[in-house]
Amino acid sequence: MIKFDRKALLWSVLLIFLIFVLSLLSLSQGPTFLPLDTIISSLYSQANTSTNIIIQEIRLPRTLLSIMIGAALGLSGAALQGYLRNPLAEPGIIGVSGCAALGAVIVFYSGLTSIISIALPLGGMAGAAISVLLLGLLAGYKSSVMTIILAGVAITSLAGSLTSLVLSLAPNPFATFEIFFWLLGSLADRSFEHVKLIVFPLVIGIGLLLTTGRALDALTLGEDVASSLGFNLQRIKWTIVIGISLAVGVAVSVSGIIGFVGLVVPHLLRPIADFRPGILLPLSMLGGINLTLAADILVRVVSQGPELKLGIVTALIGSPFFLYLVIKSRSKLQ
Amino acid sequence: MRLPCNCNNILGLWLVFLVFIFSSNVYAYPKRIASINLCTDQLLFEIAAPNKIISITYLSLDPEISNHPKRAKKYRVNHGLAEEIVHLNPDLILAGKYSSLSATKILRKLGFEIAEFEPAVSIDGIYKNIERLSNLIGRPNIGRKLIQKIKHKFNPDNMENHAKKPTAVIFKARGFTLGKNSLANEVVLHSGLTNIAQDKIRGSFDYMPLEQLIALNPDLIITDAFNENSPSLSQNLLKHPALGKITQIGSRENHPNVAVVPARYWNCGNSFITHALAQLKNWQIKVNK
Repeated sequence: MIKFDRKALLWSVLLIFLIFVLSLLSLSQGPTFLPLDTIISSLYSQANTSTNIIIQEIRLPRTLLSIMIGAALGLSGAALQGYLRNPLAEPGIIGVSGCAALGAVIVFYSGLTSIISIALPLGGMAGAAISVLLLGLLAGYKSSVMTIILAGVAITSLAGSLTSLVLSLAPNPFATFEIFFWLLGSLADRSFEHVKLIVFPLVIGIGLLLTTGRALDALTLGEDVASSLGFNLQRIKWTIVIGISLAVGVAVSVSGIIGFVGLVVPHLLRPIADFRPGILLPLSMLGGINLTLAADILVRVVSQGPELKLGIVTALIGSPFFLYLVIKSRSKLQ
Repeated sequence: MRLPCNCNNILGLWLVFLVFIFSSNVYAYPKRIASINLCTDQLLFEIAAPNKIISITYLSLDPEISNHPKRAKKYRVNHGLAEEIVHLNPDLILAGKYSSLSATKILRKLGFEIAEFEPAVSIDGIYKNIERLSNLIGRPNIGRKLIQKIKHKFNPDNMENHAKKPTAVIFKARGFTLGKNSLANEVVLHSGLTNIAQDKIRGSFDYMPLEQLIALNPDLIITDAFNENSPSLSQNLLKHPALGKITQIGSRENHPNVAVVPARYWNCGNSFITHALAQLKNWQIKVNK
């Protein structure tokens, strides 16, 4: 097991506490105002009143999805950065999210989801898996920072344009409007059906990624050292590939692409984890939950009328951060 | 003053000729009519002689939004692009005032005769459009008959006016709802329902959050039918479990009913608006019991 020092432990407790606070805030945010005590009593109530339906069927699944998807994105970012030893790796940047969205879009608009609903997360997972394997083929997992990012950018833009193409060709007249949803992400009006659909693969994916902590710690010393310490490199690789495909694939299939969470969170928490990927993994998971919850609350607070897309907010937070990282890595190279 | 020749006769002949030209121009009604807007398509189908139409939009083929999908199959369809229309050489082009603007601009520049129609946002608006089109294409009688048919149903004496007015909200894909100054609102009011969304939204249409609909808890939710074979997230909103829960029968008092009014009846203003009214009147009676 990974040993948590006092600092990391303290921060974990703090982040968990914050998750509770933000969850309550998330439950209280919406077009209709409801006082906090009503919200809490609504959570347990069996009666079929408007208030109970709003809390139980609209806001609760939304909050739960924020938590689940935030956990998947934060953790995946940390795992990818640890495994590729690349500070810019993130599901959104290296094309995993884009391909997951493409997979989900193909499955959904072809009408397959109307026949079996499980097809939706499966489509997302397949897309994510293909992108990770494609990345390995294109750039190789051991290649330099820039090669991987370049390959990722190519995969992302290809997946994005194919997604737009599929949506433009879909027979439904609303499909073209939904390009926004898939490319920018949103958790508006999702339901418990979505929660049920993704909870198992998501938890398995998160579990797989969390088990790689010690191996990622060893990998910071280089692959040779890691294998001499008894870590099976092939096994680590496949655990990461499957874990990311499960977690990010199913998350994107119900929320669209929510970018930058996996980039920002591990970077902010890395000093707390003393630069140890093993500790960074669970911390980033908690951090990802917090960021996604906060962004989804912000989306509802700022927009009057139709909601902003969640990905707009995370990108506004994330892209300056990304620029900062680019500048930092440039000065390092010089 | 005397003219160098016996010009009186010639002048007379000219006058006769001019009158002839003028009158023949007036009575030469368009024979090749193209429409680049769904709503003008639908009006054409109701008013024009079938052999005078040369092109309509591809949207008229869609049975969900068009009242004449079968008839539409007989014509060359366009996608509202100038290039598709130019080589058909129509003598009248019907367009919507706010759609395919660039096509309209080009076609006008090329010298085509274009009639732009305002989308009808009231029953009066429908009358105006029918009257204008029927005069334009020389079938005022048919126009008058159509207007009479609609007027008969929308006669103020026929308006359902009960002391207890059930509340209703129009809630379509993506939560699209309609309020004041909209055709749908007028139909809803005329059927004896009150549209409680009209005070909640700015302007005549808006997107209503699902939560707001549930909080409003109307007696009747008016929505669209849609094709299950080509799904969309926008339409899946209408299948949200929360919506299913408030409309569950027997679970509590005054649960809302759901009225499905096909979009093709009232997306555009034409005589099918009477079908929308008839359906809503039936619902009003059912809900008011």
